[in-house]
Amino acid sequence: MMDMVAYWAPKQGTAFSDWEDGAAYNRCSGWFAVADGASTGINSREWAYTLTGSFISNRPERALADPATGFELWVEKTREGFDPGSRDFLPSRTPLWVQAEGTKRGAHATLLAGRIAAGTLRAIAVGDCCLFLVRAAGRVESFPLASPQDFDAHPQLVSSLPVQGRRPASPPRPFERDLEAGDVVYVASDALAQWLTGQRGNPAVWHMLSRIGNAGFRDLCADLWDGKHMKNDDITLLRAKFGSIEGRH
Amino acid sequence: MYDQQINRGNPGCIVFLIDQSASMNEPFAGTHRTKATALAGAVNQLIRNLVIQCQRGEEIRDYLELGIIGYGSAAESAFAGRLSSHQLVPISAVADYPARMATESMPGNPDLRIDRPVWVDPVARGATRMTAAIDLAGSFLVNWANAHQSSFPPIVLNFSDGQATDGDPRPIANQLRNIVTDDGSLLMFNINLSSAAGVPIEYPSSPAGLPNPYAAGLFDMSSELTPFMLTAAREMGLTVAPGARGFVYNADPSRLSEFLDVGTRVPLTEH
Repeated sequence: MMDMVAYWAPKQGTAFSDWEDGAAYNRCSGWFAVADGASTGINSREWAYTLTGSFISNRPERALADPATGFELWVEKTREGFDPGSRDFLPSRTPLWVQAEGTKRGAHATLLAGRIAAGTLRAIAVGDCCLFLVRAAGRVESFPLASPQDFDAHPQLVSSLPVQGRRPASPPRPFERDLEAGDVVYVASDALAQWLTGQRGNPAVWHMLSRIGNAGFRDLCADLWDGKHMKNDDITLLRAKFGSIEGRH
Repeated sequence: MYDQQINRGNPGCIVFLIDQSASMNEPFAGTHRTKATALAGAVNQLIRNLVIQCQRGEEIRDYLELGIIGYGSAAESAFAGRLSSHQLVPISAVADYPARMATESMPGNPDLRIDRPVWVDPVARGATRMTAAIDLAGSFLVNWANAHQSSFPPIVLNFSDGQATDGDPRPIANQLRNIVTDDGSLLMFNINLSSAAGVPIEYPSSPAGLPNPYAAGLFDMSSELTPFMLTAAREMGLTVAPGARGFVYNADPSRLSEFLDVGTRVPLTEH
């Protein structure tokens, strides 16, 4: 079983129930997913939850092996099961016309998801959630964005609307690396990811994150917000550690 | 200045001043629709979009309060239906109480019809009591600003097709723009709706080149666009210089939609 854990913090000034990212993982199988619902659509929180839950439960190997076609097949299947009115979510208190408008406009989210298995890390990214591979020797690699300046207000999004009738989105970007003992993988939603891309050359930050727990994570977020080092936004961080690997095949 | 994020703790406020004089029954910029019909449609669409922007999860969050004042022979609330006579309404209540749902055909697909909420109806009768409308807006916005000193300041959008018939509105407009919060002064933007198709003047930085004293008067009454709005305008492909005012003269339907979009771009909280 892998050492895998996720932390989250709602935006400053909001309640925990207002947190609108999604995160899911399976320590046994090594599948993981982080999603960030976009404010431009209705039901984006529910869509983020649905995307991450679907990735872990469906284990879409083809989405990782063949992102150009396999990813859209998995998303289409996820769309079919998307029901923002389901009992899994809080009942809507919005007027019917708002709900109808939401259905028409669709929901949207960024996504970074993948699997760690047999000594290999594979991931796909749509938008600005980022993965950070921290090697035991200290080198830090980030994917898909490399610096704080790479982030903007219009990331690519995964839509709950069917492809028919709209322009297909670009396929997700793939990432694959062999892992070594002592490597640590982080997946962060955009606000934290933007700060972390600027910390790639600061080993103290990665040492701190490797040991952080719930309370320390909340304190870190509060410090970064208070110091205006990080955008005031919902924060999610997933961490996976490798003490050993099963093999490279 | 003008960077206070709008959220439930620090809500924003937008008021529409809508010319409902008899001349609003004339065609809009050479189209088949009247100015009154086009303006009511554009305002209803913007309100619908603002409601959607304030939706989070299972609720509409009161990030904004909205007001609509119509001015013809009188100046009064132009909300139709259950919200009539209300001056400022939290956006959750705006969402709950449209006057009615109207069935429209989709642009480009006339066989597909969709129900859309209506809050304001097209009206075109009487004079142009613009000064009275600005005065009425000021009477409740000064109280709103006093109660929301940490908030982004109020935004007032004035839509007209001609000169005020109840005196020079510039002094009362200047008083309106002196209403302040800690984040800045009230923003007033003006748009002149044209009957004939012509060349519009958009977001000027100076009155030089304005065709007549009426246009110059509207320019004087218009606030500069905030940095956030300037960025939004440029992202929309508009050419706006530093110091550009929220003012469009001789507008046509597309300029009306752009004006509504630019003039209501505020730092709305994302979550």
